[in-house]
Amino acid sequence: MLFEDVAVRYGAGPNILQNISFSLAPGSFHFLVGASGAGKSSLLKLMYLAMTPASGLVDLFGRNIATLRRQDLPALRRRIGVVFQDFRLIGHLSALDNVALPLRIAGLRESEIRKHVTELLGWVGLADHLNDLPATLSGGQQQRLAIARAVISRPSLLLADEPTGNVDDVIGVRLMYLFEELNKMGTTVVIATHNDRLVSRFTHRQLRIENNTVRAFDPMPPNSSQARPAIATAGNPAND
Amino acid sequence: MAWRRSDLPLHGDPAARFLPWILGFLVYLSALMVGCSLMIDQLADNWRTSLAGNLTVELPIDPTLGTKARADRLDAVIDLITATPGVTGATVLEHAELERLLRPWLGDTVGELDVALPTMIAVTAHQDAVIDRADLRNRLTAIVPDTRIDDHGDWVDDALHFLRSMQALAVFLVILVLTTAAATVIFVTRTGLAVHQPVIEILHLVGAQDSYIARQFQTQSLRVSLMGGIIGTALAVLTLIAMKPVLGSTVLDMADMGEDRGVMAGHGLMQGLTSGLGLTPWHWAALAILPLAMALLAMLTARWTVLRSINRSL
Repeated sequence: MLFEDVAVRYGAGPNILQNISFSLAPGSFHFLVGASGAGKSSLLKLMYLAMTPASGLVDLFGRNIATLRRQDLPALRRRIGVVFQDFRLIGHLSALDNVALPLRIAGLRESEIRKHVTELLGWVGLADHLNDLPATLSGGQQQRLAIARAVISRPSLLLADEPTGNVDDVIGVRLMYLFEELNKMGTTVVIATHNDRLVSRFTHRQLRIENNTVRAFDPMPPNSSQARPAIATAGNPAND
Repeated sequence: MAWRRSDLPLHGDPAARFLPWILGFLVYLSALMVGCSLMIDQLADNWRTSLAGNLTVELPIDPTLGTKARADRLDAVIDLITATPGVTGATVLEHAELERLLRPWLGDTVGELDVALPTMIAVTAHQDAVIDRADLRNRLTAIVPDTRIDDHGDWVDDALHFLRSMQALAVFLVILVLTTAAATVIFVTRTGLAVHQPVIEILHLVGAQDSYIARQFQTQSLRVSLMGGIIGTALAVLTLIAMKPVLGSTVLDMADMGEDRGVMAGHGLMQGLTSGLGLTPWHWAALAILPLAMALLAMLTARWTVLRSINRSL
């Protein structure tokens, strides 16, 4: 993924993000951090192809997203797993059917789907809730369900918006281990969070949103109270 | 798989809940009109067939002739007619029958009037017989001057024109009903798209193509229109069966009208008309196709609506 001098705005409003330049190498793991309202979700929207940049270049899997045709989108989106902050589970579908959705859309056989989904739901601790509707699950369970749906198809790129916001630290760390497992298998992972305590437990690089732009940082040393800037400004993709 | 389950809860939409009933009613109307149109078609064929080749010969009164001379002349005419190739019979109408035919014009006192009535002969012929009317008339005129021959063409033309007009009206109404059905499906589909926009967005974001989403709507439309269509067609068939006596009465009135014009009496017109009032197995098969046609229309309309309406989200 390559961002070059990207600006983001909604409609005719002002730029909420600008001068954004960075790249994510395949198989890398990044935290996207910043204060609430800084623009983390907007940046993620660009990454999961829900909006286009106001200016600049966003290159995803070798494709400029501004020039994509509508019929090109589904194939690219199937390579991206997204954990939404508000989960966006489908209320009338069971836990199993929610997680199975990406596989069904991809056209897998029902027997394979059931096998994979059951296994993954067991891994995230929802084995006893296969047929439950999302509304009957707790916030934490819904979040794990949303994560399971995002990772079920082993995407090339996983984007998660506050994926541990509704779970306790133990479950949160366990989910992070799940993301790391996926990362070890080659998935590029971007986790948007404002949970500094969670970020400090891992040594992954950070994309920090400050003053309407994005700066890349090296991992925070265990005994340091502040992250060490990797580059003065996040203007050179080659530095990331 | 997509036929068994749906990612969108379309069956629960308030607008969609009435769709089977609306489409069922529209199919009911269509089936009635198609059924009537087919009946009319069958009727017209039977009329043409039953009247084909039949003639009415009218011999004017010659007051100068005596009774025996008239009888001899009539015998000669009958002999000539029955000797004509293709003719199967010739029947002289009784005086009472002629009075009955004149009663609508002259009133119930027609029998008391001192009016000389012409002799009417009903001639029946093979359906495929070709009788040279001009030649027959020339030969009859040689026996009875001013003889008239009527093959009922004017009446049949008028009646068939009326039936064809009714048929055209039925076809127009069917087109109108199908257009209404398509418009209803478009409305319900667009409502569904608006109501389920959040779910559709999720489907798109997890990689669904527009056709995947369209398939959910078209499957639902197919299902409900088929259900409504079958019910509507079944009720229409029952209605057509129940309507047959009423239609039969109307057709008999038309037959009376034809007979009252004094040109077709004695040709078994009644039997020809009423026996035509029914549907053949092919017609019933055509009616059975109607719910399938409606389902296909609803399915394609829903698909077209979804593919056309989904906006570019990127």
